[in-house]
Amino acid sequence: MNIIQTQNLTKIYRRFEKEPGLMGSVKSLFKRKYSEKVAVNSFDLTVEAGELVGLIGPNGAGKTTLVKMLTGIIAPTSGGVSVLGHYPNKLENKFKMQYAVVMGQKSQLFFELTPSDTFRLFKELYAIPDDVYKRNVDYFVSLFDVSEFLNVQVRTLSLGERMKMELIAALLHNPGVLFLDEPTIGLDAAAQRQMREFLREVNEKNGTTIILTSHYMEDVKKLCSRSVVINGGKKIYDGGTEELFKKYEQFEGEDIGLVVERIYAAKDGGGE
Amino acid sequence: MRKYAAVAQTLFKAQIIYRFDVILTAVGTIWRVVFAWILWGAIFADHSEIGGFTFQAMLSYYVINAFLSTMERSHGTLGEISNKIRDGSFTKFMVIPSNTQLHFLSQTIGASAYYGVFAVMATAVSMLLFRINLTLTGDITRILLAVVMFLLGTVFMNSYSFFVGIWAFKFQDMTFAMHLLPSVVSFFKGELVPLSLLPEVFVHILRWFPFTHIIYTPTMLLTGMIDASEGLYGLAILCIWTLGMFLVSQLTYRKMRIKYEGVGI
Repeated sequence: MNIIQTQNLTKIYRRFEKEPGLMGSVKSLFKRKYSEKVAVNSFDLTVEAGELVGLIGPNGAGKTTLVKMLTGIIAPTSGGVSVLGHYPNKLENKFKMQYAVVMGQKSQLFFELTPSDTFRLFKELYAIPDDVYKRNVDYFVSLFDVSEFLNVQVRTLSLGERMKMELIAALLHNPGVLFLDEPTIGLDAAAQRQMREFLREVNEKNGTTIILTSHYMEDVKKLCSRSVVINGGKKIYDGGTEELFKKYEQFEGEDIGLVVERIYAAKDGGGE
Repeated sequence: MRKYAAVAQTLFKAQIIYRFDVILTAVGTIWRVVFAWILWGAIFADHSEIGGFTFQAMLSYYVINAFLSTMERSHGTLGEISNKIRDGSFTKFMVIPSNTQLHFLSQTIGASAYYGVFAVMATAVSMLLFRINLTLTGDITRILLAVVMFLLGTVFMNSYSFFVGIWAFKFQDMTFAMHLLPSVVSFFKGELVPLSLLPEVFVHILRWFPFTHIIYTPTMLLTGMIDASEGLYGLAILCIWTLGMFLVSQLTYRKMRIKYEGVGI
């Protein structure tokens, strides 16, 4: 069953431009110059329930914009999008109860309070029954081994500890789909490994569909059976992760940019 | 309803962290009474009554007005919304299953409840310091009207702040609104001087607007300076404006949020 479907999904940003220096700033006061940036271009995607899909591409490829459209944070410029049978940008509560999004660079936690306080707030926001709440907190906290940080002010946590708490908060209401935008960004190798193990378990045990964006190829390689490569807002590869890396990555741990170049070269040469 | 109570409770807990800011706000409340005591003390040296106020009645006006102003925390909403839209952290409110406007209202109520505790203490200190015999009405109708008007006024102010704040979806920078509008609104709320001292035409015009009935009219009711019928008129005006502002801000939000780009994420 397809739970995510997009057809010709497009997002165009309007960007303000100005000439450098003071004169440029003064000129821009009277005459504004704008340019358009096509962040996502006629994007078609279908995702089935229970899949763990990796969205990979270099910086500025359009990964985050795609996730923002799938979660309803931004409205598409054109094209169709359906997630769990909803048009995301209608921002219906019924829809928001069924998914979760974790953005590596933005927090859902209250920095002044403890993770425990945010969890309690989420329990009410998502109307999580007492027994489910208790079971999930116990389960995820032991899985991440973070019980000692539950009652510590969030702003004093390390990045890795905070990201673990972000993930727990996101999963408390048993979302059907979990969107993760660069969840391992800035984490050390051990924390990255722990995060991957956690996500695999959530996907396998709970059947949660996971859409993961990353420019760390290790994340995608270790976790996702399917990969979608994006560049310049366009989908340039959609298929098996193993096949992708076997075909286009020549050396272990190469940059995603090189993989993208090889996909284009193969296309020009009549390959894939 | 439970979720909004939880939001209010969370904000109440978050406020406890910022003890220094809260203490300074309490000092600010006392300072307003000090200011009134010095200024009106000098003016009343040559007069026994001004515009129907005795010196004690005037001080009572400032004490109650300062107390209500400290409790009314909506001004923070405007800045919070516009800043979060600009830096992309508004995303947080778009993905959680709650009505964004009610979410901010609940936050304001949570903050107000906490500041209220300190406002009570600051008011008590002011009264002791300046030996103010608070001139309070014993009329239960006027007291009830004042309480309802203040609560409704908080809802109005929150809707108004929300409405102004979300224009950041279009204009990004709302510094003008954040700094200038609160000063103007503060004047209309009677936080600087009792509005009854202004020219009659001006007072008559202000009666049609909601700001007058959020703090000024409740203060006048509580001090017994106006009767219940005047309060009822203010309540009716406030009801119309609150409903109108709530609906307009909901509609504007629906239209404006489409412009959101969630920059920085």
